[in-house]
Amino acid sequence: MNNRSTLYTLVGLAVAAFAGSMFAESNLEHWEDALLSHQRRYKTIWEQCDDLEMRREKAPKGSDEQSFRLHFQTQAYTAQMGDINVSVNSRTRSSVEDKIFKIEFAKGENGFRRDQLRTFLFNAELLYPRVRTTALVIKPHAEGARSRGIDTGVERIDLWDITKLELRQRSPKAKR
Amino acid sequence: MANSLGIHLYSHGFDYVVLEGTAKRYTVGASGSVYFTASDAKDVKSAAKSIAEISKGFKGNQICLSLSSASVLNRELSLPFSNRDKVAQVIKFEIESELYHLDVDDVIVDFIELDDGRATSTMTVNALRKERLKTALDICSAASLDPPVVDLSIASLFNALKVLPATDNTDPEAYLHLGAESSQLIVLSPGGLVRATRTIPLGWLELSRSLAVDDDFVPESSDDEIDVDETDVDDSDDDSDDEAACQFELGGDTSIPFGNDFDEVVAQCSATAKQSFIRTLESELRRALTALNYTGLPLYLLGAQLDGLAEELSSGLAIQVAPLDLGITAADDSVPHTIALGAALRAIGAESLEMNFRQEEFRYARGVERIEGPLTWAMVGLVFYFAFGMAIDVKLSQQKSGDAAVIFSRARQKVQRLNEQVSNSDDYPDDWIIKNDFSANDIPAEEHIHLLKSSVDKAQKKLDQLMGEDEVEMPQSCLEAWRLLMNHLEVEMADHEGKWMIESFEFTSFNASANEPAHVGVKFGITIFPDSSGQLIGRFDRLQRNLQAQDFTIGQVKIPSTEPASIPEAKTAVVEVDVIATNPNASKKS
Repeated sequence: MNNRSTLYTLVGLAVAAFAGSMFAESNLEHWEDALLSHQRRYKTIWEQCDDLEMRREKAPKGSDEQSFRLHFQTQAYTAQMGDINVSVNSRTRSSVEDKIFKIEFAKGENGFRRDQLRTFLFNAELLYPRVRTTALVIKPHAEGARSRGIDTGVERIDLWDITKLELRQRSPKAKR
Repeated sequence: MANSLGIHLYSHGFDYVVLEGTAKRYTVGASGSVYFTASDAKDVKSAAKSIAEISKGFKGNQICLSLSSASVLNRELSLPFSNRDKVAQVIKFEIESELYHLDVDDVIVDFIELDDGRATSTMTVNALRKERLKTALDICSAASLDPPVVDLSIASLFNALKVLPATDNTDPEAYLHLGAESSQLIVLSPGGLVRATRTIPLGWLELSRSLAVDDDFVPESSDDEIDVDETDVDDSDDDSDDEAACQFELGGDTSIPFGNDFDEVVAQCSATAKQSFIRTLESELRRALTALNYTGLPLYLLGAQLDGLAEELSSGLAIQVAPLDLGITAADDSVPHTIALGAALRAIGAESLEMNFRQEEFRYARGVERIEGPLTWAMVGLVFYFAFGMAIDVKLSQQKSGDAAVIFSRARQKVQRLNEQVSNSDDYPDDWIIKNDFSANDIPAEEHIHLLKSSVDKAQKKLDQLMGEDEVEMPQSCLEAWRLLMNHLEVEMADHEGKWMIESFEFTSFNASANEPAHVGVKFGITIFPDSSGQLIGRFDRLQRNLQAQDFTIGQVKIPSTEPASIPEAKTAVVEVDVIATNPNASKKS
């Protein structure tokens, strides 16, 4: 092989090495980007998984009537409000379907404190998706005096009778 | 129009001819001879200066340098083939045994094929010392010349003789060129090819040797000229003293004084010296012609025209000797130097013997060839640079790839733990399992984390859809309306603490209609006691007014009437207000 052939061979090799170097550099950039992407996504996935884990624990696992009854009874029990009776009606509108829950508390000698009622309603709304309190009527507890009405302005303890309580879950039809 | 430059370089000077035109049609542009003084011959640069002055206006690379064939080893060699390329491959090995006192690596070898009528190819091989070639090229280089061709004066003489018209002569012809340092004898066959060559180490400069010692010599000229000549003689003496200072060797006898031209020497030398020179030349010629078996045939003289030389040789050798005119003259009617003319003809592309000593390390290189060496090393450097960079990049890529794989593995384990919770709990629906194995997918490994992220996003969206509210206009919450109202009343009645009480609450949530947005209608009974001064005037109006000013209030706040409470001086009323009770958690859930 003479000098010229050697030179041409080396030029060829240099071109090949240059191409290889460019490819390797491009490949390195690709992997650097991939690593950064992995780092960002790893953080996001980790946070999403933690979020999912927490929310799934609290999420309702069923959407049938029995699940709802169980849910409300659980909340009433938690708020120490005794047994409840839940009646369910459904009403369908153009794009949504409402489940209406009428809740009746057992009639006892004592009424309920307002914080008990608020706790019950708060958890009933929070722990089940798309549930709202749509009707609530409370009056001061007046055992044995209901027929006479309530003496206004008379000092009394914080006990109330729930005369009407209605909660409603609204869902889009497609999400059933 | 292309120019060519022929230079015949020897120890005591150089001859030059510039031809203009082509190989078939040319004219002599310039010609002449320059003789080195003792100071010129001191070193290469000084000698080059003279050449540079002559060649200043010369453009182009059609240059042929003809070196003196004196002191060049010459041997005859027979080979079974005559192809020049093939001969060139083997000639150095063939001639090696003939180089008794020379190392074959110290010489450059070239040859002339002889037409001697034998069946095998006979060639006369010339071995030129590399040292002499290097000196000649250094002089040219210092003069900014780079001749592509370097041959010998014997070859240039042949080139010059080819300008003669072809004849029908059936006998060989001999030509003698009388040069400054040496004389070249060439015998051409009837076909015009070289039959034999000889170099006689005797030139007209030999006549000047006698000038240095002939103190009695007085030229036949005027007194003024005598004075000048005496000065010249003195200079010659000085030159003789400087002989040892000559730093380069081009084959000539450097003991001969420098700085003399032909006319001076001929004018100054004595008749005795001239006769002696002619006798010596005649003797050398006789020996050469006898060795060449050239008898009875004419001999033609070229080069220096020494008066009476032809006649003396003719009578002495008993052959016809005559001066030869090549028929080429310069613009000023001067006759160009024969050897330099032959070199210029070679440079312009005329017929030649193709002798060229620019071989091996002295090979003529043009353009890319000159930078071939550095370019080769640069390429080697580049190859290593790129290869090294590539290796580093590949290694780093592997590390990054490994790190990315570890990160994906950890993310996958995290999702796997979430999936195990779903699997272990009967309450969790199976479709909450998140896909985290993508090995079956025909997707690059670095993309798997995108797929994992998509799967987690999908699971999150599914949960959002289960819990979310964005796509549905929700009824407003009575609980939220209660909270808003009680917060307001706490602030509103803060200056009336302990002197008011709620009697009843009635909340009803209404859907949005054409006339009004979704809201909660609130009716609440409130009893307000008089303050310490027994005043209650305007309290309900203030309550109504401030409630009306709240952001959550829509429509008109109504207090249809106030009535006396069961407690004296206290009053009770039912307040009717519509409240926008947007659940602040709604946006978080979606």
